[in-house]
Amino acid sequence: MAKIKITINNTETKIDYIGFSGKQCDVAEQIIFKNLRLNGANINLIKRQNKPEYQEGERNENKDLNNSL
Amino acid sequence: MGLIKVFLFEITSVFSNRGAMSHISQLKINIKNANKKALMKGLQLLGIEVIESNIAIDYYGRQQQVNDALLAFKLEKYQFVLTKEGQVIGDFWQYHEDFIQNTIKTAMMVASVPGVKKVNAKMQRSGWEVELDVDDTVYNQQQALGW
Repeated sequence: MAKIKITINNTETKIDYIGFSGKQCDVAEQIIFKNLRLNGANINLIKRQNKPEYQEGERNENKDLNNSL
Repeated sequence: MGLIKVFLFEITSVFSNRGAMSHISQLKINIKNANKKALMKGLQLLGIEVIESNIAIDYYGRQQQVNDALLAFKLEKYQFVLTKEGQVIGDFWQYHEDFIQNTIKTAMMVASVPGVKKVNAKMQRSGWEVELDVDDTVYNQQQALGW
């Protein structure tokens, strides 16, 4: 089971996607932002931060791709 | 130095073996014309009682009628009214206005996440920390984005 952690307080507003694949993170972010706009919220992305394991995963994905070519 | 490198390598390889990744979006959110249904659902998911009312109630039980009310919600003795314009009317002695505004933002956010199975909401001093267990297969389907 994957988790989405939402933190909203006076110092930060953030969504943390835990246990998602790299693509799922991107899809989740886009779906949530789209729904928020449809629900009447104005939103601006300030920063997208990938944790090291995410980047590592991306590199592995690329490696797999190269191997299959 | 050599030891540290080996250790770091071990950590990253554990994560990539699991295929688990993490990613954070930091954003700015402003609620202007909140969809009533979404807001009701979100507040209820946070465990807050929502009612169809235009009456704000303070600590002493004094009532105030509010024009142009969208909905009202209860926190202990207090009842807050949100107007269609996005204004909140209520007694902010215990729950400060910034906390209430952050509550509304959090509710909208929770209501906008698909595939929610379980909600674990923790109230903080000026806002919320909410953990949602989600069915991640929902996010495999790119057609969900209209691609």
